[in-house]
Amino acid sequence: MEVGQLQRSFVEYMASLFREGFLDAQFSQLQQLQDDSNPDFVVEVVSLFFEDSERLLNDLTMALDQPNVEFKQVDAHVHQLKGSSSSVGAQRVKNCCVPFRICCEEQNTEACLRCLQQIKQEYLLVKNKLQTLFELEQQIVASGGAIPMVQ
Amino acid sequence: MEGQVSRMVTKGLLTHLGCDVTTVGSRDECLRVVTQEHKVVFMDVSMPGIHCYEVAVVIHERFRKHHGRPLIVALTGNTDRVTKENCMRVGMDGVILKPVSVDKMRSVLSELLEHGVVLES
Repeated sequence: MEVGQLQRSFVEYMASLFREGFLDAQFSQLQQLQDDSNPDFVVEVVSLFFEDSERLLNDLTMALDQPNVEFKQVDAHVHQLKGSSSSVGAQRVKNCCVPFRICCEEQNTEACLRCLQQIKQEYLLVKNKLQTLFELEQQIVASGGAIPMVQ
Repeated sequence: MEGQVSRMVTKGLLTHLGCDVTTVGSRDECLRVVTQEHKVVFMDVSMPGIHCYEVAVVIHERFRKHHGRPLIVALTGNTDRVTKENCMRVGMDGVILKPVSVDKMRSVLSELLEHGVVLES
C-alpha cells in the first residue's frame, strides 16, 4: 500500500477510535508528550498499561475466585485499573470501573464477576485497536512517510 | 507517588514542560529522596496504602527549620470536599484532578512557582 493511502487509513482509524469511545482526549494529551527527546513515549506508556492491566485483571480473577471474597482488595485493584486506564485515555475500560466499584461496595460477588467479564472484553478490544494503530504507524514509517497528526 | 502508568504519564508531562523529575513508588522512597532541591512533590492521594497525608506532615516537619520546603500538590481522581479538606488539613499546597492536561499542568506549575499555592476550582 502506498504511503498516502496508509496515512489516510491511519487518520480514519484514529478518528474511529475516538468516535466509538475507545479513546478519549487523554490519549491526545499523551501524543502531545511525544517529541524528539521522547519519540516512543506513547508506545511505552501503552505497553506499560497493557502489562499493568493484565496483571490487575489476573489479580481480580483470583480475588473473586476466593470462597470469602475480600471486597476491599478487589476494590483496590479496580481503583488502580481505573487510574491507569484514565491516564492513557482508555475510556471504555475506565467507564467499566465505575459500576464495578459500586458492586464492590455492595459486596455482590455475582455482579462483580459480570463487571470483570465486561472489563476484560473492553480491555481486549482496546488492546487490539491500539496494537492495530501502532502497526499502521510502523507501516507508514517503513514506507518512508511521517505519522499524521490527528486533532 | 502514583501507580506505575500514572507515574510514567505524569513524569512525561513534567519532563515535556522542562522539569527535572524524580519518580518514586512508595512513602518511604519519597521521604528518602526528597530534599530542598525539589521544588514540588506531586502525590496521588487516591492510592490506597500510600499514606500520602503522612508524607505531607513529615515533609512539613523535616523542613520546618529550613528556609523553604518542597511544595506539595495532591493528584486525585476525585475532588470531593473530604479529599480537599484532608489535603488542606495536612498542609498541602494544592489539589488537582487527574488526568492533567499539558495546558493545565503548565498553568499549575506557573501558579505554584509564582504564588506557592494552587487550588482546583
